[in-house]
Amino acid sequence: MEKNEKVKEFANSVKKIKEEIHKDVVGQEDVIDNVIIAIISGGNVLLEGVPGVGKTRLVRSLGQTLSLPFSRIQFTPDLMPSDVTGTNIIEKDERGMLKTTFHKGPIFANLVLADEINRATPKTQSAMLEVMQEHSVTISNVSYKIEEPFFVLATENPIEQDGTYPLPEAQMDRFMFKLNMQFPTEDELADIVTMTQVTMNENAQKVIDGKTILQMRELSKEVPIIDEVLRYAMKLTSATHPELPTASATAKKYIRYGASPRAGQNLITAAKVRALMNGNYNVSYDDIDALAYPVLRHRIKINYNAINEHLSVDDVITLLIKELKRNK
Amino acid sequence: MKGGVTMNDFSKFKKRIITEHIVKSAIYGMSISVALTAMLIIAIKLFSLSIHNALVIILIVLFGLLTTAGFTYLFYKKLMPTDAQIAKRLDKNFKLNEKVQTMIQYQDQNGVLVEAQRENTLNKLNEIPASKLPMRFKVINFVVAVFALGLFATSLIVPSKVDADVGVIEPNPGDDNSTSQDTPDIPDQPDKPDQPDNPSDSNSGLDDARDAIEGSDVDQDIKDKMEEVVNDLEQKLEDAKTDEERDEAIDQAKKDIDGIVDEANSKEEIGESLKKSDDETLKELGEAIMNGDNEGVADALEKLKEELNGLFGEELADRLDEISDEIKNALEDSGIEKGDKLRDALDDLADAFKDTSNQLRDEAIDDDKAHEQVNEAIDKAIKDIQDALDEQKKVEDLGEQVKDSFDKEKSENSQDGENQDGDPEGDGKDTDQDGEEEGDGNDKEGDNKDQNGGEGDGNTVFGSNDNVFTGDGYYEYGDVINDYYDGIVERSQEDDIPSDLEDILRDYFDSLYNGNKK
Repeated sequence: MEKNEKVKEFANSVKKIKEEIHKDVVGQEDVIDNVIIAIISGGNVLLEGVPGVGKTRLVRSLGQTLSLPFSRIQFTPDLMPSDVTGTNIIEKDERGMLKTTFHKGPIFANLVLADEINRATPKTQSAMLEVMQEHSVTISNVSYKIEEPFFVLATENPIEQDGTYPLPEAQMDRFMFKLNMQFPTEDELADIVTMTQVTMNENAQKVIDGKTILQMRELSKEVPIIDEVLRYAMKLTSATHPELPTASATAKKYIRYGASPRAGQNLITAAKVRALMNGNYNVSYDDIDALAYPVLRHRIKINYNAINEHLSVDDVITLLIKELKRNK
Repeated sequence: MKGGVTMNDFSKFKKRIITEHIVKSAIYGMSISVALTAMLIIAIKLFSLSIHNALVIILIVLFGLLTTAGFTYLFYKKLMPTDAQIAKRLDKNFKLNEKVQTMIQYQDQNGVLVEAQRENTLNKLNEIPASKLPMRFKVINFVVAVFALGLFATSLIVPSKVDADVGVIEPNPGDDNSTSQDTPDIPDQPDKPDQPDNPSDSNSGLDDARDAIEGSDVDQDIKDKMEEVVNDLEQKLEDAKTDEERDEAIDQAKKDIDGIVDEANSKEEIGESLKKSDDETLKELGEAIMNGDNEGVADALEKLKEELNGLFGEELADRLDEISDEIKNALEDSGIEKGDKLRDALDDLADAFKDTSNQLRDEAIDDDKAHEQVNEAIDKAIKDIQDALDEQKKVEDLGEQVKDSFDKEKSENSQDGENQDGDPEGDGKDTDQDGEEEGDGNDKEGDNKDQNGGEGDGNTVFGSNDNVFTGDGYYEYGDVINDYYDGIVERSQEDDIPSDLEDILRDYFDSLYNGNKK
């Protein structure tokens, strides 16, 4: 009975998180689900959306729900790496002696909102991304670990591209998901206005803590996946490469660069969490198909053929999935 | 797990799928077996083996059973679905999102989630009755079966090479001309006179030809010529080494006979020549002579007689001269030499007219006497011309008889000794009107005396002891022919048979019986 309870507990926890977040964020079901998946999986999310759709509010609400320290970093062109990671500062101690003390930067939080990351210089971006990768900061040969769970939600403004530094593909690859936050519908907008007229503060309450998140992460690793589904995920990844012999016809026609092996890893990791979230005990094709979009959309580069035919990245991913299903 | 939920929940579907697999294996196995059996039957038939044989039938049945069992087992073993395949089918059918496949793949593993997954899956399967899984038979399963059945049906319809020769059963060697096992019993043979013997001679056709020539009352000269042709042919047949040479010799002999007949036949030339005359009466006479029409000849000359009897004196003499000259010219134009009876008859007529005309002019005779002489001459001419035409008809008939004998010789000497009951050809001597020409009972197969004849030309030849299917059973031909003869005689006595047909029947039976007396 214990095993079933753990799974039920997992599903319940996720359900509660969602309920709490919905107290502060209207709509955006997919985004919320994927953000939760990313947190449990240990990945980071790149969020694209116009200003005011609730990106900051989402992360704040998440922090309250998970009872995790939250910080927000607003990236600007003049932001220095040390502004993110922290720096050593020379101070006088109580005896008046000079010493250097490391002052942690805003990165030292469990949940970090890196707002408009594409506005920072490449140097600052790389400092941020290194922390995301290593989960630690090294200053003057001293490493400072960041407490788990550590989750970064970086945003990009798709409108203001002037004076920005788009993230290079190698850096994009470090994000597990790229999510698009859509402009709310009229009804959703009405709900947002109604809600924020009362208070602008987040209403979400704590439901679980960081330790529980880590337990959920460990549990999700045990979700079984059959070889066929695993192979399907790998096929999907390699099918995005037009230069490979295993390339799909879609890739040859519409893709310039394909996804890295990290995409395959992220697919499986995220699929296991998604399966549990939906009350399933195994990964299915549906899980892979559903997560293909957030995992692949920032990792593949479409070519001029796709642009000429007015195909978006998501459209190309849809064609890829259809082609693989046909050939199965 | 819920109470009562075990791997049996998976097994119940597995049993159903295996049952389906057994049925499919049986369909495939039987289809292949039926197809192979059909091919075996066709092969047996094509290689001239008879399947009307208990041993062959038993072998075919055994073959069918063994191949059915073998192929069914083979398909069962080779195409048995694995647990993974069964799981995949269940997932797909019941939309279980790979639950069953996961359970099967991880069935030997433990772990919190693995066990939870197993339990969850079995709970799901427990809720679904096995009957919900539809049995899956593809169209190809039935197409294969239908094709095999079609092939089998074809194998039964295809005639055996042995059985294709309808109406004749080869006597089993060592058996006393008994039929094959599935033919009805032959009735007891009544005592019949004049059973035709099985001849042990050769060239019976030539003998027939000689007999026909000898028995004919045409001119000896013509008979001699035809006899000579027969003798030449006999020699050539003895010398011939192949069927082609024999056939060629026979064909040449037939041409020679035709030549003799043409030479003796003057009626066409003379008749044609007379038709060119300006005189209408002579044209009519010419037409009648050409057609061999004795009555027409008489009519034309009677008409001339009547005309001449109405003329007198100078007018009569002129007319007689005119006709005489016309006849003489026509005979000259025909190219027929003197000595030909027809020509001589017309020549005599012309001379008689000329004499009478001269006597009239000389006043040696009066009109009455002239008319009397003219009438006598015309009467004589009618008789002579008719005799000549009859003579020529006899020569033609004799020629046909001799040629028929040559044809018979050809068919008797057919190289392969097979039944000579192919499509009938020849002059239509189909007495019993069964579409085949009857032979003289000289069946070269029955006594294994193949005289190296060429391919038959459609003449069916039955030996007297050979068996013929008459529609209600198999009888020896010797019995049948005697019955026929008796029947003909009886009907003839009751005047049921026209007189001219009687002659033909008499000749027919005569040739059958006499042809065997050697």
